[in-house]
Amino acid sequence: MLKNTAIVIGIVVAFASIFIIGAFISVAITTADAITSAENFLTLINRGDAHEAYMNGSPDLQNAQSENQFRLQFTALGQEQLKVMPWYRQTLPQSGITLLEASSSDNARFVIEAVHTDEWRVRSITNWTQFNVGPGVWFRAVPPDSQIQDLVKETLLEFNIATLSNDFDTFLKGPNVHSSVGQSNLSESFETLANSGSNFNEITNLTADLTDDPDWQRIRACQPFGGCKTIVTTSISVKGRYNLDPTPLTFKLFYTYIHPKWVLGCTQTVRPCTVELTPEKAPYAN
Amino acid sequence: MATLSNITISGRLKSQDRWFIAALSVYGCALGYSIIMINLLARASTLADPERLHIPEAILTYGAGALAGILAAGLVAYTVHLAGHDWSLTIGSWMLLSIGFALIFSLVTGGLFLPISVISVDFYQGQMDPIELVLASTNAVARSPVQALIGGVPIMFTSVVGGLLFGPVAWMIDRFHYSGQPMISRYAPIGVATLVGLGVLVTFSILPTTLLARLG
Repeated sequence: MLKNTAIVIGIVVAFASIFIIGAFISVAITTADAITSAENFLTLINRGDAHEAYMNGSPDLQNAQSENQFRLQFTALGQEQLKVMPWYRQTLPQSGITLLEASSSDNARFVIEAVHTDEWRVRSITNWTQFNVGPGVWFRAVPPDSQIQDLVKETLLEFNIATLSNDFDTFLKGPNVHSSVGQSNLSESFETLANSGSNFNEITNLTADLTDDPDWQRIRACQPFGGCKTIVTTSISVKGRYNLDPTPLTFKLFYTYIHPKWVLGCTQTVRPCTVELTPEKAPYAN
Repeated sequence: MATLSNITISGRLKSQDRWFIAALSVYGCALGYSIIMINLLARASTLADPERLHIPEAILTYGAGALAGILAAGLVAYTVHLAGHDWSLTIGSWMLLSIGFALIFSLVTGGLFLPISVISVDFYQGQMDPIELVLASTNAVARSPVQALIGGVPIMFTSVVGGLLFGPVAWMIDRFHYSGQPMISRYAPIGVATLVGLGVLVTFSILPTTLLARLG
């Protein structure tokens, strides 16, 4: 009986070993070329040659994203150097597509999608939580100041139009707003703006003074008792001020990321609403 | 007739006995594959129209049942011979033993083989890297005593239904095993088990899924 038991245990151990070793070998073999391609891509990025990297990307990437957008995404990521994780931390390819895990120097996780056409090419790089948004480089990092300035201007001008025409529905259903609240929730607070006396058209000629708010410090945030982490956030709140005549206007706007762009967030579940505009000395805060 | 000495001295199996264990394991393999297929169809039917899994997921998932079937049937056959007897058991005895098969099968499948198969499918579909596969498998093995009850109970009813198919065929194989003709005694059990096993597989692979779902 002992002999038979030993034989059975031996067979089980042998099968388990074959299973595990087979898993490692299959991943090592099937991901080798994709890893090499992704490493070459990241080497170009890390040494600042975004153009060459863009040209080395897959055609899908180039069709989905302009080179300028591509550059902006890496600009938003700051000085982070990405590297591909070792082969044993990768997964099996699926129908000519490999999702490779990458990380930054502070261990934030990213996904590199490589596709096999004539050879392996990078199709997308995203932060870990949004790997299925399609081709392109999309980090969902806090955008540069200049982009935030444009975002705020756009929001306030659209908002001004809504206020003047008393048509908040159009504003809420517009492409730059993510809304789950109805007009009734907003109109009361927004109507006050029409009476603020500020000339919103001036906004196009002004640059907002953006507050140095911890919500949108660049890509790194350091915890009191932890290390520094790369911020890949789903929302940002932007505070600032316009020197409008006759009444300067302070604002606090809440943006949420709906791929592929930041939009004004207007969801009751996250926070009641998003637009706080305060003509100075005559507060109409929402 | 079995004597105490031949029980204690042996545990050593005769060549025919090995063929018998192999035969019952082959049949258990087919039955286990089918039981898991039916059980998963029955569970899926509460949510939507049930559909069979496609290859290779089917191999990995239903294969868990096949392996557990080999183990359970092999264990039953081995135990029967370990007790030592030189005559075939009655059909009533085999029906009782089929309860043992159902019990062992459901506990082993729910406790170990099905969790491992889920992990394997995840790995195959690129949801896990090899390191995670090792960790998850080790975790599954460590949790198997508890998981046997949690995962085994939902399979038990289907296993008992499967046991109804196990008993009569095992009895038939056993009858061949104790045939007076050496050739029949050696080769008929494995032949019958293979044929009936294939029959079971083919039947359950072509029957409508809605009908199969009711069996689970």
